[in-house]
Amino acid sequence: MQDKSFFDEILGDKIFLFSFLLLAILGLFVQFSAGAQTVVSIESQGIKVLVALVAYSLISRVRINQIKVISPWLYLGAILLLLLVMVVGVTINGATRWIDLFFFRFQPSELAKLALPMMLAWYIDYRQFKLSIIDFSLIFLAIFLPASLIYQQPDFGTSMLVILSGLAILFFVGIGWRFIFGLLFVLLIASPSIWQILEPYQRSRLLTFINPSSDPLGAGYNIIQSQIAIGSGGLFGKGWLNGSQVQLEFLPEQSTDFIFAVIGEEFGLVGLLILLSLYFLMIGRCFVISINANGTYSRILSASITMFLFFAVFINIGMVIGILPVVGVPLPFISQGGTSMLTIMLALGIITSIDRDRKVNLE
Amino acid sequence: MLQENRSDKFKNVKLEKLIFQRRLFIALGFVAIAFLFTLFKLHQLTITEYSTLLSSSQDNQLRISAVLAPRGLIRDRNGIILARNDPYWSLTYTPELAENQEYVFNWLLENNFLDQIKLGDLKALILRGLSFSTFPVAVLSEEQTAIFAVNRYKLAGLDLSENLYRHYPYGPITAHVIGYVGAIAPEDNTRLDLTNYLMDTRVGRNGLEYYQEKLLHGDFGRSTVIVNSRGRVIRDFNIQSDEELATGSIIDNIPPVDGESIELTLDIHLQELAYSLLEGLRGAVVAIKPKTGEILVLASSPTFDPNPFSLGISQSEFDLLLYDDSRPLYSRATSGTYPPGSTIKPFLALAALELNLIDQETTHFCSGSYSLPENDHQYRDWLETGHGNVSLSRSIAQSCDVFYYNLATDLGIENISSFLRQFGFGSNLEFGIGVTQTGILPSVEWKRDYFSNPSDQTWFPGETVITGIGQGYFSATPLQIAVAGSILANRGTYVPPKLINGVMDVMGNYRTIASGEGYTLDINNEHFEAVFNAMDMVTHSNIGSAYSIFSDDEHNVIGKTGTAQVISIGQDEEYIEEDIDENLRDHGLFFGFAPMEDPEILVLAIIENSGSSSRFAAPIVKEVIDSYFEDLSSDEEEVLALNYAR
Repeated sequence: MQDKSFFDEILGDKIFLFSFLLLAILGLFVQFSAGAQTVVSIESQGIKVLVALVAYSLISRVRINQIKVISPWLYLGAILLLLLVMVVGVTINGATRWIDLFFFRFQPSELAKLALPMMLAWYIDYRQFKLSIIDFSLIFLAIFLPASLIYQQPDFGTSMLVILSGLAILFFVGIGWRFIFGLLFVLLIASPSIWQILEPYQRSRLLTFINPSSDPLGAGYNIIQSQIAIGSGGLFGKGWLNGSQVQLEFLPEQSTDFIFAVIGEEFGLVGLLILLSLYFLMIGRCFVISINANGTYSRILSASITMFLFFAVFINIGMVIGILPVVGVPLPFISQGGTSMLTIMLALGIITSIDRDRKVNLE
Repeated sequence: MLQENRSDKFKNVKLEKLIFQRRLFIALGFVAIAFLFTLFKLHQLTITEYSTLLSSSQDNQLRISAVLAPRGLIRDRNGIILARNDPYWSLTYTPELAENQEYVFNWLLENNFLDQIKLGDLKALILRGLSFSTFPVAVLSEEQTAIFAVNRYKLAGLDLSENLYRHYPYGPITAHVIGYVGAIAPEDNTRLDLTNYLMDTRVGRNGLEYYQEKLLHGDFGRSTVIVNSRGRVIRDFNIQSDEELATGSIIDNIPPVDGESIELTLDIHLQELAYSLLEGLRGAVVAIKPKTGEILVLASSPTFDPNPFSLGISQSEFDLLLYDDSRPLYSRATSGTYPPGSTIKPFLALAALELNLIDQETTHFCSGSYSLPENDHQYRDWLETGHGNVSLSRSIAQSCDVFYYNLATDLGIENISSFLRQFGFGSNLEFGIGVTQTGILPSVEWKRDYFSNPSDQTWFPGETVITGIGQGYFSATPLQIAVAGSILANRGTYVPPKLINGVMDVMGNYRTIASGEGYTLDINNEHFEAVFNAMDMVTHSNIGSAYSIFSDDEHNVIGKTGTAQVISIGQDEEYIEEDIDENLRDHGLFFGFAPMEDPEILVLAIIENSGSSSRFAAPIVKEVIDSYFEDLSSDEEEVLALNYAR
């Protein structure tokens, strides 16, 4: 016990902490540039970073078995809160996603993002990995119930993330390739009716993803402007506070969803590569923990968290650089806002706890 | 913990872990592919498409706006300004800045800044434009500017903007020479470099403003500004550092180059006098300095005020001018063609002297009419009773027609036309305000070319006869007659007429404008003496046709009267002025120059339908010449006084 370092014992995983702090500090600088350019304007974001750090540290010290035990209850609670949002939720910009707790606004969909993989991992572990067709049906139901509740808020991005992390779990438990291709086939067949379900703005997002210049001042505007920002940044960028796309507000949502383009314009390809390396480092660390994890619950949950982190990063970046359709999700740790950062840090706290559990078992 | 480990033993733990790890590596592969895709796309954006996207980002933020160059001034020969740029206030509206659009529009209507129709136009413009754009609302009078200034605090969105408009201090009396400015027309595309113009730039539409557009216009400057995504100009954004970082270049602003000022040969005081003398009449006055070709007066009456054109004239106002029977827009001095009438007689006398057909002693008998051999058609003299035996001097002094019927027949039409061509008849005079009318100098060849019907193409001897008194097909502009007179006054030396003395750029560099090549005719000086002496009798002999006007002449003016027939009178009819419709009455002409020994100024006046030249034309010429010499002597007095003071 005496060789345990300060980091491992008190704060958590070195790699996570290193990457997180660098990313969060970069985020503060970029938000300063993209926003009002006053210290006051990024103060609250700094506090959120500290809160996320503390939350991570606390969760990482909770034993994984204790986490495992509360998993189904957490999921149940998340579903109830999602239903509650429909009744007493706060509506902002036409979306009803929040419950007002007076001192802050709580977003149950963020809880669901975390609770779903935890519950699924618990359930698969509970079923001792022997899954019947009924189990699969229940798993599907467990995925699509929160996903559809989130979708109708509406919050397309988060519901997509929930579905993807749920499906990733099915993949990790060894669901047959036949099933996977079958699912893709069904999706293909169903795509016309899915198209019908989509809101008009979602359809135009998909259309402009295929051809952004079809509506350069409308739906395609965001993606064209963000590509201009990244491309014009070149290798080394135009310099901090000097990106014309950012400073002249040609970039949409530049403090939140499109902040990746701000980094591209002001810090260039080099800045983006550093950013990507930090994410890759985090995801890689998650992989290592997943590979070595002990027990079904830990394995499945850690792998799921790995993919959750990857999706969160890649869906945002893919959208900003134009290789994925526009889906409103923030860039982890960089975008303004605390909820998503808190969720991911909690997830990283859990995966750190899983790693600690392994080390304890080794002794 | 222990329980979990035990439960694992009941499952195929190894297989489960194997499957999981395999799947995890597949997922890792998927993640790697996604990262590679991202890297590929980032490389494409930041390396391959770098320059395109960089210029896109610059196009985004840079707006080039024009800085207008003031139009060049126009001055007379003494530096008096004839065309300048005056400021005026116009009201503009920016929707983005408005707090209550309805209130603003109602206020504009209530205070008669706009009517419903113009408000509708404005609303349509606003709908089509962008909210941050600024739209012109109205041009304000001084009173309206004051009313707006008082109420401005409650009219957010409206603003005053100061602009320049072209103002002509002398208005109507320079209208035909200087012309006016107006909106760019589609046909300007071919003659102007429209990249140097804005949509609402005023261009010269007539006269000097039109023909010297290139000199007067200048080049507008370009100021490059940085705007944000809403098009608002951002001033505090650091242009230099950003641009230097991005491209290594600095945006440069190109200052405007003002139009060049033009100094005319015109003497605005004489011009004013000419117009006051033409008041109520239709006609033209031209004054020219024969030795230099400088045009001192170029007056056409009636005229119009060119000032309203500067700010835009309505179609109905323009139509009033365009369809006025007296044709005020028409520059009679340069474009009106009139039969030169008897003013041609000194030239024919000179031709006959030169060809040795007559000498100063030769007489022709004037019985009051003339007939060609074997033809009973009577060509009448203006004096029914005839002038009796007429010599050259009397033929000019009394303007005997029969004498010139004889001369014309003796000369023949070919001699007449080739001799008169040397005096500029029938040819174009280019003198800085563009193409003028050439008039008609009739000849056998001209008639063959002019008429398409072969039966009309034959030249008849009778037509030669009436050419001798400047009638028939013969026509010339007042300017042409004045120029011909100048050559005569110069004793055969032609100096091309000019209206522009010089041009001055913004830096004050003055340059003269070269006029065309002159020439000197090979004519015996004695013959000029003979004609001059005869013309002296016109004004100073008691038998002279303009003697009554010039009896108190102090400047030794010599000249020639003329009457141009508008209609031909039948063989047995009599020309009784009172019986003839005013528009068909004869035009009165007179040209005179002074002093006889060394002519400095020549003035021509032509008054439409005024009958005898002595009624209006000759007195006008006398007044202008007198005024010219008075101005000159008062200038000399000033110089003398100055010298004396020293």
